[in-house]
Amino acid sequence: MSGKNAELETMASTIGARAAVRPWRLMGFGYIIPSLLLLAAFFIAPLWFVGEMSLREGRLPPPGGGLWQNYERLFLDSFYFGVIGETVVLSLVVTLICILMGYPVAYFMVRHASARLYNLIIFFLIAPLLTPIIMRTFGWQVLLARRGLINEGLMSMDLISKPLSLLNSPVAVVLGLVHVLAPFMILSIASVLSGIDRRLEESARMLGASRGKTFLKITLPLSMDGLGTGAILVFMLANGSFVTLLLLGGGSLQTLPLLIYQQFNTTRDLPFAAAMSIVLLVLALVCLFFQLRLIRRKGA
Amino acid sequence: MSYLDPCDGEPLRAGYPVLSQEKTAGDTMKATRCSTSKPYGVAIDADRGSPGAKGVPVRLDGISKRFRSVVALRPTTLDIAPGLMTALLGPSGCGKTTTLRMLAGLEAPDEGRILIGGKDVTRVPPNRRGLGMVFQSYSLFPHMTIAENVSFGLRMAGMEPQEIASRTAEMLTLVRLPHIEDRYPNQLSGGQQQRVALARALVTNPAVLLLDEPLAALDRHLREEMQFELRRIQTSLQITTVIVTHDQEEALTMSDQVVVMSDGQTVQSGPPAEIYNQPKSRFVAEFLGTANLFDGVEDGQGNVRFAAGAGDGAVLARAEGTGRRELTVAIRPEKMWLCGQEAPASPATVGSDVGLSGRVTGHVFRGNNHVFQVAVAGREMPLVIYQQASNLDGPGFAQGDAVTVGWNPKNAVVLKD
Repeated sequence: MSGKNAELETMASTIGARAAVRPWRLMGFGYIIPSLLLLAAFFIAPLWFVGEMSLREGRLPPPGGGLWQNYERLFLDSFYFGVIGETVVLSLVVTLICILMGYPVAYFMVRHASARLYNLIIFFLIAPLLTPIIMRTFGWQVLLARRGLINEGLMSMDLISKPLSLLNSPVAVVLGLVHVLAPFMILSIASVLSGIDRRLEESARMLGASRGKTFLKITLPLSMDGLGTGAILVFMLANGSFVTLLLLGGGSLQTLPLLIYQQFNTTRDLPFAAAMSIVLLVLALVCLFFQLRLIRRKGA
Repeated sequence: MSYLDPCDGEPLRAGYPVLSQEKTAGDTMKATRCSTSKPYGVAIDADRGSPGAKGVPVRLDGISKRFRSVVALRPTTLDIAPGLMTALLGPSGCGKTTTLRMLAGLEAPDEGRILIGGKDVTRVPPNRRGLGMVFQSYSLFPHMTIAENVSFGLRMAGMEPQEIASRTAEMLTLVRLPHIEDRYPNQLSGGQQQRVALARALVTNPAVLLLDEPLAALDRHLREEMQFELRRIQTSLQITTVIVTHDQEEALTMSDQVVVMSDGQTVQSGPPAEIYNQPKSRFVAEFLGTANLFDGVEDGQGNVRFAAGAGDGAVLARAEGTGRRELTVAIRPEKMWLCGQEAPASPATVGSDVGLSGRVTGHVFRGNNHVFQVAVAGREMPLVIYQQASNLDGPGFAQGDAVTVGWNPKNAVVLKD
């Protein structure tokens, strides 16, 4: 008797559960509403606000400036345009160094390292990403400072007579950025490299291609996707990097993020800072566009 | 780069059995090819003389290979006949692929020498051996068009663009895939990719063609079609070919020579019919097709009789001068008869010299034949027997039927182990 009751109860609850599911189904993708609201409140609205702000009159309005006066100033004033240029050139240099240094490492990892060594390298690549960027940048300061480890070491070996000014130079910035960003490049190249069938390279060898030709004609073209993804990632991150430039550059390099910080904090020219932010954002979007095209071509 | 020079060939032989398509192609190509002095041969040559006459011989001289502590190949000496197709057959891990890869130059042997056309190539890198290879996964370059794939070898050799184009088109015609030059590998079916891979391997007119499980990824129907196709191309080119396969049927149907390998060494080699009909060992008998094995005792007069009380001491097989008393005998399932058991089992009722009483324990219809499992006294494993499905009346025997199994002792093979 009680057994039968339990059975009925189970049936009832099953039916109830089914009925309860239906409204959810009718709502369709209702469950993403919370994240949509969050996105709207903290991403789309601020973006709109910044965009709108960038079109307002700045602190030093050029004579007869119209709606786009901040952008005109940014692109027509040789100083500000130089800053945009410096930002892009720095990012390109960092990206290039990351490619040149990262590709051999990725290649070694995938093609020559044992499984244990591979995992060890992965660990050493990821571990620094887990420490805050400030810490790593301070680490570089300790190394590069006037009385830092490198200068002291070189002087104690009598290789130099007075300390080199390593800190607060473009070299220090590039060093710091490459250190921070190289893992992104290595990991994205390695993941694509490990997906390349070795038989493709062997086929090329059988068809008369030397090792070098095989690399240039087969391995490199096939790893372009990883290289492209890594390059775009590194370029974007370098473009927006701030802490490294502030702590290692010491004003030797002027980039957009530094300038935005200045305009916002010191000059308090919010419309102009907003315009620079939008330009930085557009640079990132252009990168994303290329990345999407790369992915789409891969899919085709 | 190539060991074959098409320009020194004899004139086209009228009697040589090539498909007319190739004959014309080879003919016209010869006219264009031989006017130049480039060292590339014409893969579609119809004028290589009698089969095997112009292929390149290959000799593996005591080569061995180990990977760390694992022995991949014990010291092995193997002669591969020129112009013929030789199959390396064995289960996975038997060393056949390692052997092929060493021949290709993709692995270096720990000891021994590899001779291609009499020339020691042991230390020659793969790109200078002048061999063609087709992998199981086809390994077409995904970022290149079909034309770029096929012409890769020619471009690496620095051939002139015009010649590359015409030769590429000719190769694609040979594998019956004209007009797909501009497509990409992922737009082709598995069978088409296979043909392109073959064209790519043959375009440089290699001395030896190496095939690493070339048909394993194809479905059954396509595989049978490609077996004929591969064979057609191989015989028309008379190129020395080594095919690695774990599929015994493939090895038997496609090759002129079969080398059976097991556990890092060759166990038997010979023409397919010999390997199938006269297996020397238990392994070969069981790996190639199905075999019913019996333990027998030689009676001193060349007759092998059942060892364990079955079969009333009937003669199981003939064996002369083995010098051993206890022997193992293998009989192929299709060489056995089945007979209803109204009358008591005797050689007379089954029309053979051996008659064994048994009971049908299983039956499978395979379209062209029936497979029966028959349990007989004194044997743990049931016998497997194929009966031709030559009429539409059905198998004739059902599970549980008492039957008599017979065979001719001449068709029973005495194994060496």
